[in-house]
Amino acid sequence: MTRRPHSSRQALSVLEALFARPDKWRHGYDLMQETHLKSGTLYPLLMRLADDGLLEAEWRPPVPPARAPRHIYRLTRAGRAFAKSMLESRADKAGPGRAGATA
Amino acid sequence: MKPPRQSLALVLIGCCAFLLPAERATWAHAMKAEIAAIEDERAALAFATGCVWGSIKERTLTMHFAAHTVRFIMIASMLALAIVAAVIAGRVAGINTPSATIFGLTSILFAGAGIWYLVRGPGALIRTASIMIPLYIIAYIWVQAAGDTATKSVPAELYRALAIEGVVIWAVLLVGSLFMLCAETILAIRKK
Repeated sequence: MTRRPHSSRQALSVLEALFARPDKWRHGYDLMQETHLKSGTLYPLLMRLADDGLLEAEWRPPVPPARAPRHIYRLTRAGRAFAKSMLESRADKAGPGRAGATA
Repeated sequence: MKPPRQSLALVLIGCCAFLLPAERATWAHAMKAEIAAIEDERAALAFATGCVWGSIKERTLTMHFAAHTVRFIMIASMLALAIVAAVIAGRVAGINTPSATIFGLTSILFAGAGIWYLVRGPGALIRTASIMIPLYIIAYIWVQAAGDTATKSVPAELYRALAIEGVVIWAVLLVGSLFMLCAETILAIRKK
């Protein structure tokens, strides 16, 4: 049986953070603080999500204290559908009592 | 002047551009831009350290990198074995001619296998290993059988050890070649 891509605990936590406010563009550091992931874990995950067309990225003009344009991220339409299915499947596995906790 | 931690963080984050593959250049810029927005210098340093680690993983945990590394290790090992065997052959040449001949042949064999692999790829080494493993096993059986009748000048223990060593080395080379064949196939499929 092959493992589904982006099904690790860390990937699910990133998907959950992005899916919680799907229209909002997020910064990497902001996602790090929310998911409690280290940058060395977060960025490779973001790269893979973007490679698979699940994440879109843009450059945003600087807002102080930033002095340079920052990269921002949000889920694509496919990414939202994927995140929904992954989070639902995680909730199902966790048991009926927790179903819908991530919806 | 920037605080030392901030400066170190900037140096580290600069390394990400070198560590990440070229197609990930945007991500290296993204990490660099992000660090400029982190005010706390301790957090900035932790962020940069994590990014360096992430970049190393991104560079090394790939089939391409693994294939290159295994290929390099295999060729370097074969050449090293050839040199070691040649040196031993030279040292025992005046003392024990049969041993010097065996070490000399071993040196030629590994040097030839290394060049053969460079020229013809892993398939050639698989074929060579498939021939060499049974040959070394036969050599071991032959030395074992001839051991009782051998004269004192023939170091049977040494030949038995060399035969076992030969089986192990060629088995490792066979496994490495099989890995290389799989890796090259996967990379070729991905390229298409």
